[in-house]
Order: sequence, then C-alpha cells, then structure tokens
Amino acid sequence: MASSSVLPTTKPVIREWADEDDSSNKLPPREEWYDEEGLKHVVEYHINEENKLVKTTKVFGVKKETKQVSKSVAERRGWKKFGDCQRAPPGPEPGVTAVSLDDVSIEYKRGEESEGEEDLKAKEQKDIQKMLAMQRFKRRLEERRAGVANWAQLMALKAGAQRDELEVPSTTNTNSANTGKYVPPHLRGGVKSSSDSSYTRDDSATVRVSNLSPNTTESDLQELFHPFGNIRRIFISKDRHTGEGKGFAFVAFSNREDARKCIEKLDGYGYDHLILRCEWAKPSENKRGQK
Amino acid sequence: MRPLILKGHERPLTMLKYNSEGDLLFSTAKDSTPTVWWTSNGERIGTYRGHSGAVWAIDVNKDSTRVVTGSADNSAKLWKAETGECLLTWVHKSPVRCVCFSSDDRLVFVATSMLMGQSSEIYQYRVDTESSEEASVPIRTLSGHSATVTRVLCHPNGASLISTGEDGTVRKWDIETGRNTETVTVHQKPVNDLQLSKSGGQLITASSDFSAKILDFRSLKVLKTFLTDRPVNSAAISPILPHVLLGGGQEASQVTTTGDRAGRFEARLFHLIYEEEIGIIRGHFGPINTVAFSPDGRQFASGAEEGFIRLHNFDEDYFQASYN
Repeated sequence: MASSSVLPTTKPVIREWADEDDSSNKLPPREEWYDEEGLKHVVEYHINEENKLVKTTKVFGVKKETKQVSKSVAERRGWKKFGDCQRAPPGPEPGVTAVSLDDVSIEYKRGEESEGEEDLKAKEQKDIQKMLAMQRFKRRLEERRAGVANWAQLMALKAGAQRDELEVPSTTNTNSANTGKYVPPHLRGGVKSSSDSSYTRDDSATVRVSNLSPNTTESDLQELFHPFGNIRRIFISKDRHTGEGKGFAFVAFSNREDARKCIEKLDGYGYDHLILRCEWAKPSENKRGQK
Repeated sequence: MRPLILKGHERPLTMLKYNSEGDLLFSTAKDSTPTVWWTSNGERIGTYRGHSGAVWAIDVNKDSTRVVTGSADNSAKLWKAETGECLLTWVHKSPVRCVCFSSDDRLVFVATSMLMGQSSEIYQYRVDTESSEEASVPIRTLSGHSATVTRVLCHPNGASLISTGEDGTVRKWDIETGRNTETVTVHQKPVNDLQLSKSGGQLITASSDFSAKILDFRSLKVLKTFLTDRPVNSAAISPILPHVLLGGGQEASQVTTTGDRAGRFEARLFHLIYEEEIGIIRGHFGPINTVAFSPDGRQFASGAEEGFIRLHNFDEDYFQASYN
C-alpha cells in the first residue's frame, strides 16, 4: 500500500558525518489526513543513500471497532503516556510499534491438521492427481498413435514381439535422437507441444460474472459454480485499498461445455439480492491483463 | 494473523506479563526499562525509569495499580502503574531474579540470585502499609533452594507460594507460616519458567532439559510431559483451549551463524492432553525467552533474545478447528 517516488532536490545535500542529526530538521513534516472515503493518507519524507529526498505515500483503510470493556479497562484508556514516550503523541509510535509485513499462520504439523482442512486438501490433491493421470493417458494415446503410424516403428514392433507396450513411446525417440541433437523429453516422439493446451492459460472456458455483491467470497462462488463442473480457478476483482469486491469475478472451468451450461443456467440468476450476469470472458489483449 | 511487533527494548526480553483484564502487557528486558503496552494496538504507554541493570521480572497486582520489578542492580522496585512513579526500592545483596504479588496484593515476594557469595533467598515484604519503614524491611525470609530461584508465584487460593529454580525443583510454601511444605525434583536441568493455568489447578514448568511439564497443583505430581529438541525457556497454558505454548530455541550463547530455521526459534503449540505438537508459529529470529497468553486466550505475546515482542491475535479458524 505504499509507494515511493524520488523527487529531485534543488541542490544535492552534502552532509558531514557530524551534522547528521541536523539534516532531519530540513525534511518536510510528516502529513496525515483522511479523505472523503475514510482512507487515511500518510506522507513521509526521508533522504536516501543517494542524498535524494524520497517521498513515501501510504494509504490505509481504517476500520473503527466498538468494543465493550469493563469499567476499569475503560478508565485505564485515559492513562497519559509516561517515561520514555512521555512526549509522544497519542497513538502507536511509528518506530516502536509495527505491524508484521508477513502474514504469520500456525503451521500445523502434518497429519494433525484440523479435519475440515485436511479433507479439503486431500480432495484437492485427488483432483489434481486425477487431472494429471488424464493428461498422461491422453499423451500416451497420442504418442502411441504417432508411433504406430510410423512404418519403421511398425516393423520394429513386429520384430520385437516380446516388447512391452509401454515401451513404444520411448522407442519412437530414436527417430529424433538420430539427428544427434538434444531434444527435450516433452518434444520427443509424436508429442506436439501445441497439442497439450492445458498448460497454457486459455480463456475459452472462462465465465465473467458481474453484478456480484461486494462481500462475495471465493468459497461462495465455489459453492455456486461447482455443480456445473470442475473449476480451475476463481478470481474476484477487489479494490486495492479497501479489499472490497468490485462486483465482478472470473470463473475458469476446465471444460468449455461446463462453462456454456453455467452461463445458460446462471445468467439472470438471483443471488444475494442481485441479479447475476454471466457471459463469456473476453480474451484479454496482454497475457496477464485483467484476468 | 498479522502480529504486532513491539520494538521498545534494546536487549533480550526477560519476561512478559498480562494484567488480569488483558488490556495491558508488561514487559521487561535486559535493558533497564520495564515497559507497559496496550494489547489492543501495541501502543507503548510508558516505561518505568529507575533501574540501572537488566530487569529480570515483573508482576502487576489485580487491579493494575501497582507494579513490582526485580533487577540485576540488586534492587526490586514498587511502581505506580499509571504514572511510572517509583514508590519503594528494596535493596538486596545479590541480583533480584523474580518477584510476585500475593493473591491479595498485600505482600510482595522477591527472590535473589545465588551470586556474589550469597545464597538464593525469597524475601517477603508488606506493601499494604503506609509507613515506608515498615514496608522496606522483610517480614520473613524463605530459604531452601540450593540454586537461584527463577520464578515465584502465588496461588489464587491465597495460602500457597510456589517457587522453582535452577536446581530443577518445584517447592510449595505456606505463606502463613513460611514453611516449605513440599518439594519435588521435576527437571534435571534449570527450570526457566513457571506459570499457572487459569483455574490454578495446574502448573507448567519450562526447563533447559528440552522439556516442559504439567504438574498438579495439589500433589505436585507430573501429569504431562512435552518433549522438544531445544531448551524450553518459557511455557504457558491456554485459558480456553487444551493447548500449551512453548517458547525456546538454541541457547543464546550457541547461536552463531545458523539461520532462523536451524535455530528453532518458533513458538510451539502442543496439545495439553495428547502431549503432541499441534503446530508452530514462526517469526522471531532469536530464541524465545518468554511467552504469555492473554487472559481471554485470544492473543499471545512472545518476547525473544533479539529484543522484539510479537503480539499474535489468533485467527478465527484456530478456535474453530477440531484438535481431537
């Protein structure tokens, strides 16, 4: 949430090591204000190693929480600061209290995770394995087809009657290996890299869902969309500052047919007091675009 | 969870203590300024200025008006919690290692180190009196530990004092008579921390022998043992879940060029009944010296050798998960 920009100073600040402390006086003061959306803006200045003035703007979403506390706790909230921080303004001191940059979570020991989570993870794993097995099977089929189409291969098959079927694709490699050049395994034999489209992201089975309520979560969408087929990915567009949803999302199915069914059924479906709009996602111009 | 990092101390943390309502956190470190913080936002409220050495221990009374600290400058001090004003100073012949209020807040117990040719003693002072002469003279001295007493605490029943020390023993004292009623040897190596469960029914010890143990308060029998692979510096029992939090890590003197992963500087969560590790919480880059649960069990604080305190608010899924 912070952006830094280097501003050109009018003249380079040349400092002696001795008056390092004085230089802090020349910095513009720290500013803080709230905008009409309730976002807190903090502007700070410091001088970096290259003697350039750096302006840092931070924008915070501020949430107010009302909490009921006992009388004695409420009385203590009126305590004045004392000791080393006597002169500090109210509120956490910037150099002393910090919020961790990393999100720390309890790293559960394997096998002792909570059941719900474990189930979900196991299911996910199974799904992935199923998908991978499917891909492997497809590839093998294709390889075999290519291999058998090869006349030389056919002869070889006839010659080596005892040869195991599984070895067929590997023997096809000899064709490309003849050139003496290294060929990566996924390009060997009959496999065409372009034939395996599941590795590259394609938007052909992606549905754009709009008119969502801002507090829709991924699990809500998962629940809503999973009856139609296997979902590869869900992306909910969110505001960068507030984290609130912008009201639209992309749901990528692994199968275009599932996506078509989903659009048929869910376009105009009433969800969360709103009428959903489902349509085919437009392929984005640049690879990473809005998706 | 995104922990709050409190950087008020410049030296290794020695002790963390929540007040009874859990809105204040008191911290001491090997620098000479005990500090008090708001637990809701990590804001520093104040520092207690007056000690001239490492501060080893802190305790706060029930209504959070008085604070007592013990320091390696041979003194223990009584403070006004709100203003940081020093009310009383007790000077001893060797560094003060631990302090505690009695459960009725009328007495203060101060334990000294076995250093400088002195034996380790527990001194009992009155703090409910107006006259400072009366308060500054110990009304009783409890002796018995054969090595430095590392923790003293008063049981909420009002009649017992429990102490533990580098001799590996846990001792129960009758406050009324000052007699050592029970002694058990629990660990082979120094015990570094002793904390009570919320009900007062159990005690947890943390020891340099790589283990922590739960003791029944009445019988002082060992009920549960939690084994780790590093010295345990501190242990706490969750007030709401059957969980135990252990803080520790490689000894400070042995930490050289090892990375934070090799040093095992994470806080470890164990199941109280099954004695099995549930998970770990990373973040510190030095051995954890002290851990404490907030009284409502929704937050915990850990303080480490690197001088930082981390305040963790548990995520909702921590409470909802089943651990059986």
